Amino acid sequence: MVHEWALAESIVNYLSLELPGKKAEKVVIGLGRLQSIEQDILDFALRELLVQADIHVEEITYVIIEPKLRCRACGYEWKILPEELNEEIAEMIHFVPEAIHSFLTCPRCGSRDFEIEEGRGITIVEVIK
Amino acid sequence: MSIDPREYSIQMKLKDISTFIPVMSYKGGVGKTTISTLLSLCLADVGYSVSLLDLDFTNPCVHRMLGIDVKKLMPKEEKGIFPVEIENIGVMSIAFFTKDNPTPLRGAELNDVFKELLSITAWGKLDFLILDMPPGLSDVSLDVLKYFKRDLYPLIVSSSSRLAIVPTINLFKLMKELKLSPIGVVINGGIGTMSIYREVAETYLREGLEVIGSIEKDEKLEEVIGSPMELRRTLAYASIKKVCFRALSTTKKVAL
Repeated sequence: MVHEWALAESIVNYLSLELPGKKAEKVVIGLGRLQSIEQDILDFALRELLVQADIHVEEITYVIIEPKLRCRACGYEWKILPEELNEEIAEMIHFVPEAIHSFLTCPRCGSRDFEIEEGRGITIVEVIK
Repeated sequence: MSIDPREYSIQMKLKDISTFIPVMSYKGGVGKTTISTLLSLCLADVGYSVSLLDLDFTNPCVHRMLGIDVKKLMPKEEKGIFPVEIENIGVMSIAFFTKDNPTPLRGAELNDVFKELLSITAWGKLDFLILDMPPGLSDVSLDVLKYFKRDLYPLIVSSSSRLAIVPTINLFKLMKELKLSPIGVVINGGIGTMSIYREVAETYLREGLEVIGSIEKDEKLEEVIGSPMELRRTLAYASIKKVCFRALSTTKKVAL
């Protein structure tokens, strides 16, 4: 099991601490595409861990968020898809998305001083109790 | 609503670690990485379970001290990632993912790297986690103080230089304000000049800082960077043994 398990653990740890009664109607997870999280693996890990933590969630849904980058030096905004990247670089970004600064520069001015505005990694978008 | 769940895992991942030693200085270039690495080797040699985390995300160097080729090695993955084992030390560094490329990061990005690494690294049961800190008390150092809430014993590093005196005293004061118990100050005689070592040490004593050791100037040290076996044969390693036993005493692992 790859490191999606650790990311699923974070979600379950949040629900364990913040969900009264350990029951929710729906949990919406945001998946930033930059990190190339395998949704099936994350979902499998999440369901296993929820059972172990005795938390009941009726429905888990995922919202895919496309990555958007913005250069702080020149203001240029651009989109990037992990599948467009070299496989090794995509793997590094999978573990630590900020590694993108090691491999990419702004297409317009060449600066590495850019920010990931959207689509970085995992977030909990909504919990309906 | 948008919640970052990683924060909820950090404490869980650290729960089986007995003692955290951040190796800190207010000033850069005083030898934190050298001391972090030698202290880790020494504690491991004495028989303790030790991991070393490089928190200097924009300039990680621990892997170079230990001769780890980050272009070839990657942490193993199994329900998270495992520190890379070398010389009985587990090593975790952003360098495994940045591959020694330049990586400029601003505050929010440093915070993200911190949370990512700390929420996915499986440390296991450890006696010590040594933290090689970036200089100063900014983003990452503040994150350490935020998330490492127990058994935190900073080790403060100073060079043998007049420029280091005020920053070191200020760092010590800040540690005390935060109700932390620093192990003490180590003066790195390899940086600066030994001729004013006494002046530096006496000033610290006057200000209530405890100097627990010094690292002797060692011309050979530079030549053996990257070779843990050779690092153990340096004067610097011999010097760190006193610091190591003091760390063990302060953190109540052994009585001196």
